[in-house]
Amino acid sequence: MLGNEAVARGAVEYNVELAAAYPGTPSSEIIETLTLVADDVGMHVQWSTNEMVAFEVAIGGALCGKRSLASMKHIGANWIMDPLMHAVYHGFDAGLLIISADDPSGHSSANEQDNRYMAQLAEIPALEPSDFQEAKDYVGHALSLSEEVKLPVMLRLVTRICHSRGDCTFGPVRREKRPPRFSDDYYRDFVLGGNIVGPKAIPKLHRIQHEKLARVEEAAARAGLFQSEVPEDGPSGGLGIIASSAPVGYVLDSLDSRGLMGKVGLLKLGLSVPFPEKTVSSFASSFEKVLVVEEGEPYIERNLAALAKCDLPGLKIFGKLTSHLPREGELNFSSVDGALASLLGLGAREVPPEKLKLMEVSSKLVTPRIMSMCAGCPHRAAFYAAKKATRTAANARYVAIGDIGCYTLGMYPPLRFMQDVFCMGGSIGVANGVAKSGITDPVIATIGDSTFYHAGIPALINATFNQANIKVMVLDNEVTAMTGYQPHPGCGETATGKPTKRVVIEEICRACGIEFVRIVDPYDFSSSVRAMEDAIRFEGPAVVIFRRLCTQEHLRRARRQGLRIEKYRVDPQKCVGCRTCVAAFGCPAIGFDRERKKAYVIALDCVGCGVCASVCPQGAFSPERAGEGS
Amino acid sequence: MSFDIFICGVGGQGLVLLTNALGRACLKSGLKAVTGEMYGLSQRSGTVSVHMRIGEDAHSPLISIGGADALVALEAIEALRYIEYLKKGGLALINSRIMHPPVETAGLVKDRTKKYFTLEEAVSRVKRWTSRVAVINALATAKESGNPNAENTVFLGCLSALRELPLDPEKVKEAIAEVVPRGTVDQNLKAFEIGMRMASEALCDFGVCRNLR
Repeated sequence: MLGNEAVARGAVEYNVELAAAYPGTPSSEIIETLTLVADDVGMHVQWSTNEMVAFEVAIGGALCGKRSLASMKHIGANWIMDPLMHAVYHGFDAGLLIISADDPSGHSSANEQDNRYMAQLAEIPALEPSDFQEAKDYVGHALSLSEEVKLPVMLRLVTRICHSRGDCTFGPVRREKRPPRFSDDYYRDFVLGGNIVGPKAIPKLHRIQHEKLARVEEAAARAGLFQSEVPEDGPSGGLGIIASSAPVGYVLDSLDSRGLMGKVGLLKLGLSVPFPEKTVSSFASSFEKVLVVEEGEPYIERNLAALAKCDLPGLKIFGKLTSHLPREGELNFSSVDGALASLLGLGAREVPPEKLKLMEVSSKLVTPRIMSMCAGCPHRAAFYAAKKATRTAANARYVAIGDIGCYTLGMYPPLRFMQDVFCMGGSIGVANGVAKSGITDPVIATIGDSTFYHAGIPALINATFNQANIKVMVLDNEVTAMTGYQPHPGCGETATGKPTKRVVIEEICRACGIEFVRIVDPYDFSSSVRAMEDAIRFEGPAVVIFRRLCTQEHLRRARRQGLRIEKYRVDPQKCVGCRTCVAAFGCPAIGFDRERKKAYVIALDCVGCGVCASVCPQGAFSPERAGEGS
Repeated sequence: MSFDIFICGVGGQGLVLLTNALGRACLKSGLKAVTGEMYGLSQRSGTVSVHMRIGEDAHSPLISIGGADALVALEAIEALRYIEYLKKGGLALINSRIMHPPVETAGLVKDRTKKYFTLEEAVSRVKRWTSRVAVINALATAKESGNPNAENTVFLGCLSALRELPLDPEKVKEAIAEVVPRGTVDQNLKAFEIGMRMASEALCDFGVCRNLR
């Protein structure tokens, strides 16, 4: 089962009663899996507007005695810092779990941040499962620990746990509906008790938190979160390994393949924050050299170095800081095996020179597959129309800031529409500043529907408040497409498929004081161009909503209803080989025959959107059936 | 030793379903299996890869460089992109289909503005590393079975032809029937059978295939 599914199973087995999240790769499948069983097991499961709200919802659940969790991708966790830094001073009767899915190498993310440092900053425990079994079991350990020390606990996952599949043995499901009871301990102890006022109040709360943290290592050891193996007949090469998370598997693979299982000391840390000093110190004292293998920043390595300075002065520490392992990007078998081989004085596995040559040649030959929007994607049509509008209304001069979603791909060739992109909601916020910097070209912000609800609204209000002359393109494909078509507040449906009131984007825009709000269908090319031209010419903040259901979701519904999709074709008499369709529009369902110098439709990929017919200057594209008829 | 299969292709070709079927077949056979999947942003037209490891000593989901017993490429250019994972002399099952990256079609790639990458170029380069190559026209086979989307099951058939694959083909078929959309089971099983036969024919000189009745 998928690592994320194992985590979801853990939430069911260990009686989580409330789970909330905002989707983000590689974390989304946790909540998706829970939505399938939510009603059966009596769990409230929701997609929240953003990660901060999701975590606040979880706080609310824990405050009422329900085991609660909020899950998110590592960058999404940046949103929860504010409520988290407050929550740590409170106590909860029920376990409160933060699931952070880190993405080393940034396979589907904009950075490689290591959220163990977030746990360290907030001074909360962080657990690191290393395989699928632990992905499930650690949910239980984290909840028990949270209840024992009365702190929120982070479960730090990485892509190779989330998006890998393997064996996991289930435990019993023990569901218990705890009666909700709002706990006002904090209010009684610290507000009415007078401790929250006065100069010592905050340091006192902080001290209580430190006392809680001091109990964590012992509790984690009791739960079996530290597993160490020190070989009896003297450690091989005087080397011990400390590892956590997914790289534990690479260490085992390497030792196994070299016949060293059980011959090299190994300490597996299932909890890394707060740094388990006693456990690590006692393990490391048996060795002359320690190799630290961890995903992300050299967190364990640095803490071990600080510890060794006082406790183990002769210890030699190897890892990312000594360049035995790469400092950036995720680890893999080869990097870990290479580090082990060099420290044990064993031969590295050499890649034969003829293979190196082949690899070099292929890497030059093989064209990279730059991420691209799907055939029929409404975003491509919207960007193409907007680009045309900037030519007709602004001499092709503009600044466009993108946002996070499928539409970020509008930056890539051949569309090359946006010039920069930042965080969730950053398009509108940054555009506010660009517009106030004296730039006279139109300033455009492009944001998706789900992102608009997530983080776009405060920045839009700011544009009205400070009268920033920005043009916001809301690319509304009526679903959170990039992470797997999760519903959002505009869908009229909750995570568990129950009908709910739709929150309408145009109503929000008008309520935010935007006077120019236009809604267009991006497949209607001329109306789309006109709407953007008008917006650009309008003095003041303006919003154009490009609304059309995500093609993939559309196809899925069409398939379910048995609708036939009419493909398009190229009339070779009309096609003059100008290549507008492939070189400027870039639909992946259009190919170009270089010998005949004619475009053709790749019928298997065509979804029949027909935008190519509007784009082609010669009118060479037409529906297949129309062509057959003529 | 674990049996390691590196599977690659282009987003939308059904690699995850292929992996699910194999994993399920392992579960049915009481075999340990671990997979590592790379997808997410690459749902459509991006490069997708799956590491699949079968056997007790598969601890991590990633195959080492030069560690794969078999390379399955649902798209021919992708075979070359990931050739580093294949063992010297390992088995390569390659789809004859080439899906030109849109940037190549758009004429944005230097050296590729005149002529597209060809199947022959890809296969001849893979052959420098291993002679045990089977080129399979999976799209034609899938269409023949009545479902052009069944390229993935064609390759499940190809893999099942290998004697080294520690799975009974019957178990793989059971798994396919469980994971493919209802209503496409027969088409997929047909694609599986043809794929199995095609691989045995293409690889008959190397003695790596099961005896088919």
